[in-house]
Amino acid sequence: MNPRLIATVVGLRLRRVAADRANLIWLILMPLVFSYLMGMLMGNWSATGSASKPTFIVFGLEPATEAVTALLAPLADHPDFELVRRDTTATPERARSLLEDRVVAGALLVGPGFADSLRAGLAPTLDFYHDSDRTSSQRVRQALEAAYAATAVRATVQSLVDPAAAPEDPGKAAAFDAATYDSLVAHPRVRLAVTSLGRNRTADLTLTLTDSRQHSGPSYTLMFILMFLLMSAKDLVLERRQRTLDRLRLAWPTTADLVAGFFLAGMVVGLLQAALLLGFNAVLFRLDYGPSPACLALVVVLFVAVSSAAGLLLGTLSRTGGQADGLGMVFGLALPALGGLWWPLEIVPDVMQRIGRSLPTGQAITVFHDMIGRGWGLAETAPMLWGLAAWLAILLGLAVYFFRREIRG
Amino acid sequence: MIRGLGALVRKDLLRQLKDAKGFAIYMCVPLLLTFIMGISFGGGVFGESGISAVPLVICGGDLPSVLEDRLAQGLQESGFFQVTWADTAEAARLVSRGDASAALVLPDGLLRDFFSGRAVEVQLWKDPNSAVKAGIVESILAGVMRQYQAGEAAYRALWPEDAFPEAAGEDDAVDALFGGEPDRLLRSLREDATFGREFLDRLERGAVFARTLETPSISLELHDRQDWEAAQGDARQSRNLHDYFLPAFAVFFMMFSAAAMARELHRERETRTLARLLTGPVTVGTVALGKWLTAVIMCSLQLLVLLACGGLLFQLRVGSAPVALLFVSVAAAAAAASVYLALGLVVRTEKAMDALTTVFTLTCGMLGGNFFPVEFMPPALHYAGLVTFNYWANRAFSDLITRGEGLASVTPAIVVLWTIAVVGLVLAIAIFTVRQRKGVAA
Repeated sequence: MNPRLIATVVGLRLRRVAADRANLIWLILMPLVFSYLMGMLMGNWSATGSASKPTFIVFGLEPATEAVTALLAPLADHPDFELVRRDTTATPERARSLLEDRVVAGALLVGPGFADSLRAGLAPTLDFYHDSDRTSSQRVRQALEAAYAATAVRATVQSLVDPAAAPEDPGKAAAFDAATYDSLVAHPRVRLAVTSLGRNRTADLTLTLTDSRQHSGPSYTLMFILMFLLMSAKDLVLERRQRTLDRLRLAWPTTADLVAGFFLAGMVVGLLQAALLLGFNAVLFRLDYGPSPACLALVVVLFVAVSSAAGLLLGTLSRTGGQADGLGMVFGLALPALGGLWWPLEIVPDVMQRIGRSLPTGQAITVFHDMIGRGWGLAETAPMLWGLAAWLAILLGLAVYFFRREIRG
Repeated sequence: MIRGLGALVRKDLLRQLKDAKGFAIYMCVPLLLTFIMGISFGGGVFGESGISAVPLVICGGDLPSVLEDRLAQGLQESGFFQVTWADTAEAARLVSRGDASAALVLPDGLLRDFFSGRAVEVQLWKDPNSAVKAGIVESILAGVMRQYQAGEAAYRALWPEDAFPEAAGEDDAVDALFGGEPDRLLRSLREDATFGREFLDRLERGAVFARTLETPSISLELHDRQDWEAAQGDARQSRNLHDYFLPAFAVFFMMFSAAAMARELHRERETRTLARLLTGPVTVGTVALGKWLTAVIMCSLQLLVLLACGGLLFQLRVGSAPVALLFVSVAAAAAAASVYLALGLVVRTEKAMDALTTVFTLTCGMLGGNFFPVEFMPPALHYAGLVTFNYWANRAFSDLITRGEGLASVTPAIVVLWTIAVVGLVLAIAIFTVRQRKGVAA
């Protein structure tokens, strides 16, 4: 091995990347824009908290019945949406169009004869319009259903109150104790306690994977590292076509020197990119990568190495810059999509999850998820890290084989 | 001018068609991504579709095995869950390793505590990495729990005298019943007439109460957008995910093609062929118009070929309104050609243009709904998407292909696209003319 020659190749490559300021767009700007926008787009997956407060509109509140007033009372100062009350009535078409045009996250229609029907014991209907594709709409629905359960049960059991019949009829009650009801609804005897079995977090680091930024931050970092290094395959093709590779060979390098030079150059660029992006994500979006810096370092190094080896292989196999560009784009988009960088793998069928986790992109993002959500370290993530190492061995082995053939040819 | 324009367009078309590989890539990548989206979310080759059943572990509770089986069977039959019973340690291990999305942890002595009026806390342990599936479990359980809590509160508000056995000092009998010794309770029923009558009264009240709650005095009817859209569209409404993704990716890669063609102007300037061209009987406006027309033809062709491929490979419903599809494709191509031509002329070099158009394309692709339907976005991003030309193209394709609508319903989108096209083209020609006068265009 010739360390000076390898250092020269690395230096040349770095200068080439630094000389083109447009590279900053792919290296830094776009990954951050994507992380931010996709994080916003996916929204907060947890039940509470939102960047903006959507509107929940209620029509037909004149005259408001006691039951509707009670239904809306707990929704008045809700953290997830703003309750807007309208005395006027609205048609179902109006409610649908408000929802379709995204003016509101939910619309409740209180029919004109609601109060009379309720008094007459005719079981009037409240119509709620929502969009199950929108998180904000689902939150409104959940809150409304909770309030509805309390209100509807209260209104329904009033028919069991009959002071005259109560002493004789075991199915009738002398009265309805509203204070007891409100107290028991507020403090129920049977409760559901929800716990996330992740690592313990400090109060100021409360992000979990229920926040999509914890997915979008690492995933777009990985995606753009892979894309940049795959798209850089074109540079190796150009080195061959412009005969600058032949000039390098005047220094009598071995194949190992050249492969090491190109591979390490990719590694340096990828690691710089990863350090900057993960750092920015930590500072700007307060991302927390878990308690194991060693695991974080190893997964980043392995993924960058796999990407660099893939770029080298692609550059060796491509005949023209166009081919390298095209194949780089194909793999640069397909591997992130299949590996769960665009969406969490848990939402795709089992077969696609298995395929995803067998790819380097899926393995790397799974390690990130396990570090962030579970607080895992090297020991627990070892299977995925070994997977990345296997990809590295395969891709680098193939790159060396074809590169040697290319040099000899 | 017409002859000059024709010659320019012919020359540029020939140049573009020579780069067959580039054209092929912009064709293959959308098809590949559509295929991946299709198998990820819409089933297909692997015979599976959508989110698979949620792996749920249940533990604790000391329930009789019959009840355990019934609970597991009931949850399993809902189709949402894949249920297993385990001990608490195993449940914690499965959830914390991600082998189960959630664990329902029933407290020990559940039935005894439940029927003797003691506080009962059912725990739900969620896999921290399963935001979606564990969220589904939580949502369903919370709904069931709310109904129960309201029911119990109402019962206690109606019949406060029906204290739980614990409060009445009868917990021994209940404990014995759930401890597998029902004899004590039966003996009390037989020997203590007052206790027996009260017990029967409670049973009757419980039955009346449950029957009353079956018909609530206020109904809440839920209307989901998906349902009413499916009902409105009848058989025309498509549930084929390819119908959304292929047009979205086709528009996205058409944007790259339009950018590449606008880049030609810089290439011609840098290789001085533009200067030579302008020595002939053509104006700056004619040259810009020629570039624009070439881009419109190539981008329209790209969109139409991709949609046709989608029809063949993914059964994309392209046949219901072919004329409208042609109009939308040409309008989208015209808008893209104008926008990228204007963008290309704002900057001075090909490299700067590369950088600008890349940022522009990716950002517009995201905001305009090329990666996710805009309906999924928060309101602020949704409104930002409305100002992108690709939003209108996506929306028109979606109306035609996904909703099966016709030319009339996409006419507003076509008008918006042509407005963008005309304004963009006029702007591009104006910039080009000014630059040429300043001597920087050629």
